[in-house]
Amino acid sequence: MKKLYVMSMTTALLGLALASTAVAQQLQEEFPAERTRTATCDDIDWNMDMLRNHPNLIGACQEVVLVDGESWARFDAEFVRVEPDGNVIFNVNDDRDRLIETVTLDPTTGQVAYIDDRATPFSQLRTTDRISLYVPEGQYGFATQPVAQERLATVIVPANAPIAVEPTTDRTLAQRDTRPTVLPTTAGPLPWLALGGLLSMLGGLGLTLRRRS
Amino acid sequence: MKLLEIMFWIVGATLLALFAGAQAWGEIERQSDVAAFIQARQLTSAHEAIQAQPVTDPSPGTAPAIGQPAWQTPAHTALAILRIPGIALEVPVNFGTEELVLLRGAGLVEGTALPGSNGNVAIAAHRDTYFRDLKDLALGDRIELVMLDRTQAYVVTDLSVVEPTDVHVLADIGEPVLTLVTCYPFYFVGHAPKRFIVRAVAAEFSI
Repeated sequence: MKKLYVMSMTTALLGLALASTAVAQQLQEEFPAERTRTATCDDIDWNMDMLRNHPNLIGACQEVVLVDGESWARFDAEFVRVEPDGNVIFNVNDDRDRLIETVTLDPTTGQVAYIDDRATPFSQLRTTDRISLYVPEGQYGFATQPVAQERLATVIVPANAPIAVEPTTDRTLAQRDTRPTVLPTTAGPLPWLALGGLLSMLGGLGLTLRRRS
Repeated sequence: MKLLEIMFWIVGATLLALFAGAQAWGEIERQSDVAAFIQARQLTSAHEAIQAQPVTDPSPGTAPAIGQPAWQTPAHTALAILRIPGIALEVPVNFGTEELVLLRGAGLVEGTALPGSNGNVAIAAHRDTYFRDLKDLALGDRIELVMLDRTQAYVVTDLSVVEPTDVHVLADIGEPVLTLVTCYPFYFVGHAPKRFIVRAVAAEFSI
């Protein structure tokens, strides 16, 4: 009897442990939410090419956010359209919502926009949708979220604009690859729930049979 | 003693109910996403047909208001629908491979090409739900990726089992390919040690 009791207890504990493992697996990775205002746009060390090619654009900087020690200038952008060649056109507005400059971006592979922190492909944006664009301090290019792994969309410079001559960044775009370092884990938590439930039911069945005998 | 017995039954029934509920929720969400996508696709076709027609009577009374698009897709539709006729699979493809995404369909692996582009479109899903039947795929089988404006067909050219660190399967190879990723072995509780890879090359596309 005591042996059966110990076995049943062990089974129940195992079931609960499996279930808690399944719950723990459901924790979600979220959009980088902690954005702390640490400086003003005047304190940003702008990339020289950025200043040369878009002298007015920095006037549309809304704020500076600090993520993992890196400063990002945030811009408010209004989606215009996706060009047939895949380039995306945005109107960048200032804090009074006046149009400062229309920029054309060449997104990197897999780059998406974020509306209410939800990833949305550029092709599914609607005209007048507003998103935030981020420029990391000292670099020339736009990201759609302020994370170090985000690759920067290249800015298409109009033909009549001055030609940039300096190397764009101290970190190459290749270093900003968002491709995962391991293949995704595709084992869901549901089998654990089923297994834990079955084991617990078996434990209950064992106790019931024992009691009746 | 009887209390312990009751506890076993209650915990077991609760866990099994959670399992069944999660399965049902995932299936309902999958069907809902597929239906929303098909609706968005029909709207896209209708919009393109209207755009193609010559304007004969630009009556101000029927013109859309300025700044108000005459057509909009429903918000937050899936990126695409993945169809594999050979194994009767139809599953929405959303962005990312988080657990909630994979419970309701397949997910586009971050950093890989978007559906419709010329790169390597990598899609992952649970091997204990939607992608379990990938084990029955054979070389030459047809896979369809249904997008809002067209359908891209692929033909399976390679089936392989790799280590989780073999991310080279996600790399662009200079041509439009589709890579499906799921865990291997197919019958395994917990994180399986390998990954099953299906590689398919673009065949043709249709509207």
